Amino acid sequence: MIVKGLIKKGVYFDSVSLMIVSKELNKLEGIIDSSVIMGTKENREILGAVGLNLGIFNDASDSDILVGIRADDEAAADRAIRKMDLLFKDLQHHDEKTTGQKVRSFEDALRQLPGANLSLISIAGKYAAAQAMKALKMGLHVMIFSDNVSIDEELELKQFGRDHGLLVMGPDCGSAIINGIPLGFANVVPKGTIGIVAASGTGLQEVSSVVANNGAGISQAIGTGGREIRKEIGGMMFIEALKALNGDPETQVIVMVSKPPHPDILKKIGNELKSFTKPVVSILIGGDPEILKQINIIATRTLEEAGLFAAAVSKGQEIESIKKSLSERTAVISRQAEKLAAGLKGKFLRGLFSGGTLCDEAQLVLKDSVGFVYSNGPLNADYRLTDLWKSKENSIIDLGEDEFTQGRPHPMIDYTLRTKRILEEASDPDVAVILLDVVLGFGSHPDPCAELVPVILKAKKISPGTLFIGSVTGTDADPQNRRKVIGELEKAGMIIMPSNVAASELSGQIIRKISSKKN
Amino acid sequence: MEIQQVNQIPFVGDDLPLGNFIPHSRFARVINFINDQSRIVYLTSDRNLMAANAIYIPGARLTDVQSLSVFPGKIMLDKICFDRDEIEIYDSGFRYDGIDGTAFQSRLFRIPGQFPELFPGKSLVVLLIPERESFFKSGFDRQFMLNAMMSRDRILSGDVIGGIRAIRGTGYGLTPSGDDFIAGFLLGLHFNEAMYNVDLSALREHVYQAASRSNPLINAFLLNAKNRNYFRPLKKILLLLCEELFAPVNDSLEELLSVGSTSGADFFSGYMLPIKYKTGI
Repeated sequence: MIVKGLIKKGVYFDSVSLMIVSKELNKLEGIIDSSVIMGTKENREILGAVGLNLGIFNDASDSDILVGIRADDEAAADRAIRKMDLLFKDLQHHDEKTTGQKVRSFEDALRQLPGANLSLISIAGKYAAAQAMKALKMGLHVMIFSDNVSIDEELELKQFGRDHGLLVMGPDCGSAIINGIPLGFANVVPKGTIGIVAASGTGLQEVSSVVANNGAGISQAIGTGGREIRKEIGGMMFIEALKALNGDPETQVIVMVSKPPHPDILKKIGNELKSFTKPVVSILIGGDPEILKQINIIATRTLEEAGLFAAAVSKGQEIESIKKSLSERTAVISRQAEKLAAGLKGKFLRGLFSGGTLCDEAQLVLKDSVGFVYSNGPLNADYRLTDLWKSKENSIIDLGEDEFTQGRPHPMIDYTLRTKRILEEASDPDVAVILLDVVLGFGSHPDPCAELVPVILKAKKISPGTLFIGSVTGTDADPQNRRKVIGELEKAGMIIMPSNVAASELSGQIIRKISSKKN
Repeated sequence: MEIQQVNQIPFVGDDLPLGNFIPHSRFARVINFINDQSRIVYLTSDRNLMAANAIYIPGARLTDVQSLSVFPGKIMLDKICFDRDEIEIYDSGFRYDGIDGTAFQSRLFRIPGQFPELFPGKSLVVLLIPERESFFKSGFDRQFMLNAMMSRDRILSGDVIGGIRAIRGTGYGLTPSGDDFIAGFLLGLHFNEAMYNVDLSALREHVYQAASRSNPLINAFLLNAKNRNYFRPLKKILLLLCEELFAPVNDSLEELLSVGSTSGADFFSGYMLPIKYKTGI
């Protein structure tokens, strides 16, 4: 056992900081006891009484900070001292930017952070509009994470925002990256020159992650909420956000992500884009890209393609080579599907998604290989599942839809429903493939493998032949670390494809090959 | 984020020391400035943190302020001069005249029991609620708590100065818990003076002398308390208690207890102790 300590002179931390540091040091392996306190004579006496006083502390003044550590050995004490330095640095940085006081109102928050210009609202929907309007009237841009805000309220907020030069992101805006800070569900991506406007949360995440994983970065990623492109709202914030990116000197390439807008809205957007000088890449999931091609927009078919093209353009590369490699990959996937389909006993696909846009995109991809699939949000109304809790033939479920999230957290956070459903699907002898998305980043489950790996292993015991295929949306810089997550899922026997599109293509091809064999 | 220059001073405390000041320590909501007499004036962007020696400057990023001079008629922040006649004064005084002392105390002593979750675990409210001992876990924590209890017992046995000497300088934070407690204690003595119509100024002076030390921040805090200058968050709570408004105390209490990790709670505990045990009477 060893007692070690040091004096920190000329730095000041409040008691919150000192207690945090002390608590964190006490958690470290090999640390028996520690104290981080002001160097008053009386505190030194108390340290002496508990065996943490050291000769060097006699030189301390009331204003010095004393750090006393009792550890198993020298190495543990040194580790604690290094950790302490890091904690103090973090706290110093934090203290420069924020305060520890609880915030109970916008006024409180503005007092603590004068100069703040954006408010994130995540409260029950029925209260969200009023708070958002309050924030707008205080001159703040607004991101409304809450849903269940009426369309009339959304319109009023957005008209006010537009008239006062303020952005209104949402309602139901799940993702944004503003000045490098991820808001809501968002990934850790490098700063770069690509600006995104998205009326789709997971669409924004998939595109920004693809961009990051291909060596480019994001200047701003602005979510607008999915209703933005409906006729009632008129795309006004979508257009305002596009204009903002066009005027932003850090943005060199613009990506727009949405479901197909109402034709009138698409026309309005197109008219705006005509005057843009920056290259614009668009992905209108399931929409007709030809309309935009007429005004020199780089139209793409998938989220992955949008991210890859944007990354290439930002680096001054040709997109033709990407088109070629994606086409070659399709051929590789087809051969891979041939091999995997051989020997499968089941014949159907079951998709269990946490991201709504990824679910839509999977259905679009599958339409080309297996046709329409049953869903709670089908492409073809005839394929709407009558019982959401029971799949039928080829089915893809968006577990993030309201019917599944009433009274429980979003499936990106809480995997309970999905893991239960995985076991149910694996128990169905007709199931050949279970297709999953795994979305990482801030806001999402901190350790998805802890949920998925045991359930995949259990499902494989129930039905050893069932294939698990999926993709991981995110980056290696995310708190969960994409590379680590992929490694653990692959180790559990899941086939991880580079994107949602690739996973859907592989799954669809397998089902098609099984079907053609049986026919 | 846009940096905003200081362009207004809406409030200053009513007991600002004079002189040229240089920065002493900086926090997000507060910068402490010190003059050549070791007197402290602090700038705060949070109106709730007003005190006799504070200057409230809303909307400014405090880290940018470098120099301060306080003259009888003017205040200079960096190179900007403000006329003191145009600035409102924060009145740090508090008068207990005409209040129902029994009802006031009854409401005051209900607070820790009614809002236990608002009090941080390691605060000196343990001196009033011994069941909170379990929050003190590390070797230092336990010894600190035992020392504080011993100090309290000395005060209650009549050895006020001995108890004050034993608790001063102990605990957590830039103004250690024991010193926060003593500042509250001095204001609690003021209540006893008003309530029982006695002069405890000598005792207040002795407590102040026994507690003051080389740390100018602590001395400033103690000096305010000795001079019966109230910190705004405590004053707000006391006003509510005087007006028989118990329910809204919650918000004001939260404001007070959010000062530091335990500072607000230690201060409040110090205020309650002499009132509860009628110290000096």
